[in-house]
Amino acid sequence: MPNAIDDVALVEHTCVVAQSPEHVWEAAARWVSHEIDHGRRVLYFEDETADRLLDRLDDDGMDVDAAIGDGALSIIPTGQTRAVAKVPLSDAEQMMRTVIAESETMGFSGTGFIGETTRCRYADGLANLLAYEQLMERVLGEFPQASRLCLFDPTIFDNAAVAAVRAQHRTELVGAAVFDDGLLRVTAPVPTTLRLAGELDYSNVVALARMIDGLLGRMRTGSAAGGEATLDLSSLRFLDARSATTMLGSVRDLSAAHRVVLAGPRPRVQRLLQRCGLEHWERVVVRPRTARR
Amino acid sequence: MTRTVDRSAGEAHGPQPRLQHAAGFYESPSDLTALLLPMVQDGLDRGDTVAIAAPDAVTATVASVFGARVVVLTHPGGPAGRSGQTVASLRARELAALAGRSGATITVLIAHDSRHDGPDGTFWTELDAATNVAMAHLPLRQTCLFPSFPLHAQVIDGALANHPLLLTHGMLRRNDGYRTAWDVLAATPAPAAMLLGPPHHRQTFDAVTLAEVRTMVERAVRSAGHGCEQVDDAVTAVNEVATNAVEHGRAPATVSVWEAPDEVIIQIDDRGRLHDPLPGLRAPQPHHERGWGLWLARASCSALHLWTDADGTHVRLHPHR
Repeated sequence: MPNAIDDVALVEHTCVVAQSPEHVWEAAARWVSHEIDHGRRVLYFEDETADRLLDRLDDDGMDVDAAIGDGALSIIPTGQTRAVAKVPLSDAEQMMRTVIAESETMGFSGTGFIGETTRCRYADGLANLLAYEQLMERVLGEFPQASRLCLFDPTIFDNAAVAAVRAQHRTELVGAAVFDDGLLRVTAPVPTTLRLAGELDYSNVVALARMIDGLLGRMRTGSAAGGEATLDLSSLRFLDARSATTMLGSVRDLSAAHRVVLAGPRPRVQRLLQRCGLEHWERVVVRPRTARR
Repeated sequence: MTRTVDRSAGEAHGPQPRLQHAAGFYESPSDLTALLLPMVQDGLDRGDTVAIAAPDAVTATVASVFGARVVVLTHPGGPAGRSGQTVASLRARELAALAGRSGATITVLIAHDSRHDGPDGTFWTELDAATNVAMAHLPLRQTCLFPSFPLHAQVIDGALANHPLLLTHGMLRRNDGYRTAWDVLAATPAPAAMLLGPPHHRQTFDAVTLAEVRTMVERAVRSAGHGCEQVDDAVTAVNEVATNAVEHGRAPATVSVWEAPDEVIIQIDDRGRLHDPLPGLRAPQPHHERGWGLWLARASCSALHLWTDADGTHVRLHPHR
């Protein structure tokens, strides 16, 4: 088994076995941001998935257009990704070496590979994928400035495949979630923040209410005199009326010195909150999506 | 299922009812005009905002006398205009906005228009019952004028049951035949929506598969060329209705989608019966946490028609274009 790490800085050839699709994008965006922040060039091989990654990077506050503009983030289009996944391993190796050298010439401190090539290789059989992973491991071992994050969405890879590819990686990136039901993923980056990614509806609103109770409890314990708790909504793509009023009504029993901040809602989410009486809840503050960093 | 629960929601709870709802009757078109014109004048003299909905010829006559001093309420076209509850819901929003802007009481004058009778005149019964729910809290002095001898007797029967006040010889008197919206709709349920052929897509759903319903609706509405906000609104409307079906209805709940070249129609069916025959016609109180779903659904599409029959509860939705 690979060693479990919770630090994207340690990624060389690392895999993420995701708990849900939301987890895939959380981990991918976290790693891409980290690589770019450290002066490396990242190539993302998309398979009709670029929108999801770019959305999540935007949610996380990255200036995506700037990153693409200055070459730090390259999106390899779907057709090309699928073609790359078909070439013989020797050609794949040559391409990888070329790209690593190219990044250096361009002035980047290294190269990060991420994307859907593993999924495309898997489509041609597990043996094919494992041979590919072995090659990656060998080339990456040669270049310490290069790294690769492999994404394994368990809705696509079966248990045997996941076990086999896990063994091919030195490290596995784990990210702890407070809740993940496949529709909604909730993380707590700090004790007084819950970050909601995905969709909220009748199936998980009760869990939401319980998590908000816990959050407000931690806020009160942290500062009885006053303060704020944050529901980070930047990656929330859908919510229903009951989820909206559950969030809004959560301030009902708070003292006047406490606030609940709804951070970075997408326009659709904000519109729904407004229609459910947002303006009537004084202790709820909406913090708009932040300027790009 | 009995009607013992919540029968008075929207009537006795919440703010004091402020709707004054009267019915009057006329013998002939000239009689109607002779009744209507002084009522408009009285409204203006009182300092009210005056709004009317009437057959085109009558509206034209009123406009020729009073011009822009009278607000003309439009009757929506298509499926929205055939659904009494949808018309009441849209009109309640329109009148609430008007009342909010002017701060004045609104004199509302509605004249029967046989174009909207549908097959049996039930439209008017549904409209007035829904009006009693949707507009109970609005500062309206509403008088509905009906012909004494309409084509469909239901028009008169409904009028006599739905209006707490009757206008005779220029005087308002209490109507002993008045029934609450709940009683009226128990006797004369909202009619079924127009019969359609087999749907293009149909699937059952439950509490944990609402996301599939959303995906199905989003795909259909998007491919019909609706804009981004319209797609979001359609998904919200259908999700709230579907949620209601799994929360209050009886399994199996199904979603059906019809895709015509220029429009998408969605229907949610379940086997249950609702306590409230016409839910979602009034906005909940601002700090209430429950009861927003169907109100939001009605606000998020161009027509939402709910009816109940022996098979259960049915909701037909037409997304905004």
